[in-house]
Amino acid sequence: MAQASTGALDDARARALPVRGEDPLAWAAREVNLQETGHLHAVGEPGTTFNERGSATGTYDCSIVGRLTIVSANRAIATFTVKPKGGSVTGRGSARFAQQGANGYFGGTISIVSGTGSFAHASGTNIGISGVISRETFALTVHVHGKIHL
Amino acid sequence: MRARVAISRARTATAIAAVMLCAGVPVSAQAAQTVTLQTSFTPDRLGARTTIEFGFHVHSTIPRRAPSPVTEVDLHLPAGLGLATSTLGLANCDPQALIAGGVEGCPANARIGFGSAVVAVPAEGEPVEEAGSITALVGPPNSEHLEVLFYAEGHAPVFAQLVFPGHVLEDEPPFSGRLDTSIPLIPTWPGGPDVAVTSMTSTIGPRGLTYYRHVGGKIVPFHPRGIAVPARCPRGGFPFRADITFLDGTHQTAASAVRCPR
Repeated sequence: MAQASTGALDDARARALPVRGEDPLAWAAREVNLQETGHLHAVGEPGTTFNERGSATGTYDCSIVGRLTIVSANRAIATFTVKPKGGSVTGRGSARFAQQGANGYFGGTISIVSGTGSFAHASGTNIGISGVISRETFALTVHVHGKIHL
Repeated sequence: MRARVAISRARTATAIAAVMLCAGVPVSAQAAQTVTLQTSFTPDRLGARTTIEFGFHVHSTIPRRAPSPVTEVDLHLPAGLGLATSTLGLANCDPQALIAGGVEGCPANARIGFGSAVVAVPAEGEPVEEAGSITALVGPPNSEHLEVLFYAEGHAPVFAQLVFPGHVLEDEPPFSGRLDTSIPLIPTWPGGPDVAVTSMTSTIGPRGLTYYRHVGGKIVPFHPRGIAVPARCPRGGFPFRADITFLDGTHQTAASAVRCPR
């Protein structure tokens, strides 16, 4: 399993709430303050969905796959899967989308919907995402920030 | 922020007064009217990049009377069209620059379509008609909605340029968004009747457009990528609808569908 950065883990331990019957420190160690920045490029020709692939750095250095589907004038559905060492985590959510000249901007929240390997029990809601996509090259930069429970 | 409706360089008063003198005494434009809507894709092929063409026509139900002026057009666009994944509107157009300098006052990469319009000047006897050109451009950056500016230019008998501001807003299925456009009143002369838009046709798409980009110190022309048509066609075709509001307070709705390609 990939390790969270020391700072992030310390931060998580300090804020974690113990659950009855569990070792407080053991529980605290399962909360990770996620801070990722991904740089992705388009895979294939987009219709209403941008299919993207690239790499992310931050709490985990890993590969990232994303889908951004424009569902209406200002609304998008975002799905991102990060694949840190030992497994993967998939988050899905909605975002506002605004087209401004050569770029499209999005921002919203995602929830973790599944995990594999060491992240099979990962969970988290209201994880913030924001980013920008070039409308010429479809290069996408995404920032993901929030707490996940492992 | 909504762009201000603007009428520029309107040398309308004398020109229209001259028209009225020729055409007779003006009469009320408050007439009942009906609306039709036409829509098409070029090319019309599933999964292709396309140009949308839409046009509405207002018909007066009272013979020899101009219809009431249109004040708002709300065009509902079908779900699944990939407007955001096109490269239309890579630049923005400042309405003030548009008013001051015409279409040339804005970047070529802000243009997203063009078309024409016909207006009727109310007059005793047959209304006097005037045709003009329309250019559609992307307006200033707006974090809330995509803004579209329609620049209309007429030459004879009335010389005037107008900017119709539109916004792409959220919508309900089977539509993905609606282009809500305000149409300013076009005065004939102080105290006189307003000119009525009787038809308007415009494209939104790359057909006939050339954009420019900097490549290695050179400016290279290219054709923008069009609007993606879904690979699957909804039953009954791709639906459009226009809700039109008139100055006399009435509303008309017209529907159209781009048939599924065979």
